[in-house]
Amino acid sequence: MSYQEEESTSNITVICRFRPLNNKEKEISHLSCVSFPGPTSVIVSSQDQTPLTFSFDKVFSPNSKQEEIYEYSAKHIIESVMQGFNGTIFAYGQTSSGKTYTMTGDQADPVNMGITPRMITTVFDIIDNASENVEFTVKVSFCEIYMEKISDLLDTSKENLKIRENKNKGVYIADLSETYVTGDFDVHELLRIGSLNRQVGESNMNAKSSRSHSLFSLTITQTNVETFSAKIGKLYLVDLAGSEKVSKTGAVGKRLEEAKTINKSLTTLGQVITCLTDGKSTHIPYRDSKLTRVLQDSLGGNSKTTLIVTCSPSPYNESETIAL
Amino acid sequence: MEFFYSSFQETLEQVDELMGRPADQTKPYEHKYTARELLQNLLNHERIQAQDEPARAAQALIEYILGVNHFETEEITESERHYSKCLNSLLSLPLDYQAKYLNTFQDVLNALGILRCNRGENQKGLEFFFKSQALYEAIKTIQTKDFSHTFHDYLTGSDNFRFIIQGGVNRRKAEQNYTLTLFYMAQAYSKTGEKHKSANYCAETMKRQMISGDYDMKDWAVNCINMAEYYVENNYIAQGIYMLECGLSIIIGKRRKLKSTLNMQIGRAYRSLLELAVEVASQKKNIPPELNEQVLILPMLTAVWKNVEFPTEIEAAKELFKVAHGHFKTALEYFVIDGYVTEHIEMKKDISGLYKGLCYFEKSDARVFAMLNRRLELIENFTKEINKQSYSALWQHLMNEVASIYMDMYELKVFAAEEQKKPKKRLEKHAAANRYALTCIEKQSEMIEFVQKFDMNDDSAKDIMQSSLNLMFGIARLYSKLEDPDRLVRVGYMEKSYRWYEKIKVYLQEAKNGKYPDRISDLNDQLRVCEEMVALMPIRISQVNAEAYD
Repeated sequence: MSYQEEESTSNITVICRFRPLNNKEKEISHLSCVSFPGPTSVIVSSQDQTPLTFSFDKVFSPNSKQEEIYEYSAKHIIESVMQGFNGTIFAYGQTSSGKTYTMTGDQADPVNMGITPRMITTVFDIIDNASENVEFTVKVSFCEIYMEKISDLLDTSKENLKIRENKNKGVYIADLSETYVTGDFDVHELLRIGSLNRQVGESNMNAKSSRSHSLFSLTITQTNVETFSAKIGKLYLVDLAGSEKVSKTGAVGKRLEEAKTINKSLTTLGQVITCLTDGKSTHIPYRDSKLTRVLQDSLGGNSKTTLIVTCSPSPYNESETIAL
Repeated sequence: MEFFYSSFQETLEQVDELMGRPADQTKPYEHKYTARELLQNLLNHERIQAQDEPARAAQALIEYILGVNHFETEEITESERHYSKCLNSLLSLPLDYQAKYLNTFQDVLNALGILRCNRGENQKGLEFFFKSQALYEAIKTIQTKDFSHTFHDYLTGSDNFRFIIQGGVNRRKAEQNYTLTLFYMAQAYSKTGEKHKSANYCAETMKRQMISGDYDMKDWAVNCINMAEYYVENNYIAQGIYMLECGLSIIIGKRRKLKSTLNMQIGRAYRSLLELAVEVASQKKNIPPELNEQVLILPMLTAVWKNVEFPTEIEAAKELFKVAHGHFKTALEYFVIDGYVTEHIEMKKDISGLYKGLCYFEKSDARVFAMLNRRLELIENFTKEINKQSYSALWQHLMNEVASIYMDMYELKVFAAEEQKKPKKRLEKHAAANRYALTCIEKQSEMIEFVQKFDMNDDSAKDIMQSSLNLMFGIARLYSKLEDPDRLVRVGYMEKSYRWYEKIKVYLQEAKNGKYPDRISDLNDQLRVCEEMVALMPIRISQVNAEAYD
């Protein structure tokens, strides 16, 4: 007899989006260090090295539109969540790589709206057009993980929250505030509050947002009042820390490479030791990062995941682009 | 020499301050560039450009700092160039002169090693680390007053002021550097895939951290947990358990989660031992020689090394069970179900696994059966209580184990049935056994239903299809084995088996024409088996029907 092996990183779509050169960069040079031979690859030319080619599930060039990105990378996820499955969208990119534009964009402008407002619109559109027999509840939570400590972005008095498990809920963050929402406006307002709170914390520390992950979650429960069947789907929007390698989160192992460089700090001895075993052991506390644990139910299995990597085409950012 | 005690000293102190000064986010390397200029100017000074020994020593010292400077501004090629120049300058000095700058020597060898490894040239990198290691051994033998020095940081202005050009071996720094050398080697071997060597260096690093007292308690204890896992996986079971005891021995304060995790892992180590014992006995293998081998001892800790006994019969196995169970019980006091679902259930599974090991050595069928019931008590309810979607993998593992236990129960009862001489009694006993088989089938059906709901794509297709087929074949075969005194009932089972084979045949045919035919191994062979069974079953059924009229 056999059973399905625990899946770790199947079902992840990785897309890469390049933003256009901005005015300042155009003043310096109209040259971009990247070219796009096809829809799934990009060539990065470097000053003193041979050009490097990178492949993704899809590459979006500087003239790509917000709607295209949404249709390809996010729409199917939110539709799946409305079916009662889990989904996660990761955004990763250096500062000024166009990550905010891609994820948020101009919320009021139908052309320049980013992924998040589009998803929220889709959710409430589906709810509005659903059968009368189905009742929906939508809950929102927003938190930040910094130096392995979780804090609530909707209630700044809540810090160092613990990860717990419940037989029905699965993995959850204890005491994290969850707010019920009834429309787009509610959600946008909570996003705004959370983002503000995130920045407030930042002024106390140097560039914290570049080293912290933020997790925005939307939990949608639908109950059919005739059949009494219920479905719960959870959507996570994760803004990944800029200066940390994604692979360290444990969330996307196969697609992105493990840290290649020798780490000079003895604090990483733990990581080296963990590499000694073949990684098939049962869950052991202290091993996974907080981010990996929180997203446990949303990675693998029937969950859908997209990683969006935003990059700059300017030669000045070439080494960061390659490092990415 | 005056120059070295004035301008040279002053400039390097300035450089040190600049290198450490935090910079604005918009100009992150501002101060490092300033430091660089100072260093370049110093290097070009005519006193430094001279060829006498102090000048060459000074060159080496400046080139080392330039190496660090370029490394910190991510100019790796330049960094390496400066480090190499430093090394050459040092090597050009007579040995007794070189000895004054042994710390810098160590630093530059470590740095060059890292650079090579980061370029993927791990063997070359390791060569530098070996040299650094040899250097450290040499430093340790230095006894004379000329070379030993007080324990101060190298370049900071402290109460005990030193002139940089004087050199001198800072023993504490030498020890710290050596710990780093070992750590880098652990990483290098990790990349070359030589896990065993990497493990040895990890262990050495941990030992040195303990000796120097320079460690974080929680990190070190967690490292014990992970090192122990490596040891147990490679059959160094006594070593693994010892590591975990070491972890426990250094904990100060409540630290309930940490202690509970360590206890849980000790329980698991003993479980692995029992499983190993079963494997050795059932497959007539040799006892692994690593079982009680000592590779790392930490005499400064209160943890005591204990050799492990390899059980070969039930009484020894029971002793092992008691010890393991004790550790699990301690851990379960903290890892309660509400809050720690995964840890709690995994440990219950571990205890079920301990019983499974005991069953192997237990000669009494009645006691084995009681243990199988105990295993069900431990884990069966969880399959109904946990959210299948949130705990997809765990649920499947549990169901699999539960189905397997029912199968074992069925086979035990069938064995007893087969011992009956009288055919009527035999069949009656078979019929009584069948309820276990039917429950097994029920669990397997539930699993198939769950797996079939999964989204079929490139990554999941193989697992979904293989699991489904294995389960379906299991059910089909099991139905065909069931006996009963009532022929009709027996025929009923055979018909069910026949239907399942038909189902599998359709499934295989659809898979063959579908998107992922290549994901099923031996698809055509399996199809053939089904077709044979579908052809054969009706014949068997009619034979059984015919017997009824004998």
